[in-house]
Amino acid sequence: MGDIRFFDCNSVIGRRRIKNPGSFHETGELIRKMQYYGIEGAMVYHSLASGYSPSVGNRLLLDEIKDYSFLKGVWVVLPHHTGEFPKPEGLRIEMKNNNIKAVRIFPAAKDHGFSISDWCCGELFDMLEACRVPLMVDLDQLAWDELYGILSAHPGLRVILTGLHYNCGRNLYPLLDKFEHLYIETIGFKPFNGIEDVCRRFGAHRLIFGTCSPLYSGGAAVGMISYAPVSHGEKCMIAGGNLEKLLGGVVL
Amino acid sequence: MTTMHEMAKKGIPLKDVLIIDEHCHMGAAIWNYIPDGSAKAIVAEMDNLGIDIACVSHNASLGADYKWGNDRIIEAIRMYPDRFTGYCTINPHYPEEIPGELERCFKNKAMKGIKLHPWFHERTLAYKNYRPVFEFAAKTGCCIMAHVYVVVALIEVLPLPQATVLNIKTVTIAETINAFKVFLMLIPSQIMFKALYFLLYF
Repeated sequence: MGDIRFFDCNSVIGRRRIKNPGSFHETGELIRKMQYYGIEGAMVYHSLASGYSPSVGNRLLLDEIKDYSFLKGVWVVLPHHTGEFPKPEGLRIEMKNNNIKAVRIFPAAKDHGFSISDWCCGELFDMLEACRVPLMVDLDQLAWDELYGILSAHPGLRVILTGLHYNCGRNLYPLLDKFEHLYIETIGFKPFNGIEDVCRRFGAHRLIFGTCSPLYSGGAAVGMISYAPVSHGEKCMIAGGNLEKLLGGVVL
Repeated sequence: MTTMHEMAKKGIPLKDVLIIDEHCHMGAAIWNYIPDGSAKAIVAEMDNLGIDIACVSHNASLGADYKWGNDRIIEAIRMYPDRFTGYCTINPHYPEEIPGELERCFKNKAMKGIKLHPWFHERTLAYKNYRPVFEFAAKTGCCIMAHVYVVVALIEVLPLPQATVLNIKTVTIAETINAFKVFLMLIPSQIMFKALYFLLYF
């Protein structure tokens, strides 16, 4: 049995509005933590892209990670209507030129404040769906019905739901059942034996390893997978195989 | 030699160190789906991780019937006396039952603590009906585990000096982030809290 290779789908670099004691924001520290926990790669976005301006943060991200091949950039995106963000076709070209294979949105009123209905984001989601670009979104950014709306309107869109809670199963399970391209990040999904239950009901391919570093500990994220009562093969899929497969399917 | 760090990364149960989980729930839950919250499933997971003992309360005690939940804990600690230590949960809305329920639960040797959940029971730890609980803990030396949850206000930590005055040995505040805030507030303010306590309680 080979070692489990961990590839984190959800880390952030850069200063944040609130930094709790013991946390960190430096890229070097993130890399040191990854090495300590045995995490080989990570998908990262920039805190200024979520907490200030996506276009500014996305540019800074490219510079911040350019020397580290194991850090893969995630852009935070907006709909294009105000002109502060390129139209979907322009965005696609920029993503291709900068090797960006996943995006994230922060549509909640407390953050970027836009509707995720098709009258606002339809063209953006059409492009992501056609290019098979994974779209990441935290659970606190949208209502369950809104998530249902996206998945219904764009059944081919790969959505990785991040920032889950231990108490989401009663809404999550019907969506996992209905939409084959819905995936869930592991770190917040902590119901007792929840990983095992999702593997059994929906398959290990629906789970994507994520740490939510540096808000949460990468060690806890690794432990959730290494100790999960599932097969070694399933652990390898969850830890990194599923994410690599998703990114390998992106066609920009 | 395999270090604990290496064992954790490989998912090997931590056998060489005593691990006691001080905050464990049993049963189904009102607010979420739990695939299997039975005593048997919890012990299996403890074995998988290398946890020796879990201190358990029952989710039903946080909801409709605290005594029904305590009964389930008594059953569990009888089934697995070496693996579970029980918390007797007290609901302050039944003050006339509190002394009897404490006596009943603590007849079981593996019942060693009291669980309070001010958030679910919608009363702060300063609520007068908790007083007999603190007195029982002071008399017997048992610990109290209090889950303060979302609300971390001054009033939530005021009873801690009360516990100190009553010579209760241990009060554990659950919910990590909030507990951290509590300690940040409490540690530099011991004198102030004691002064407030005397002002408020005498």
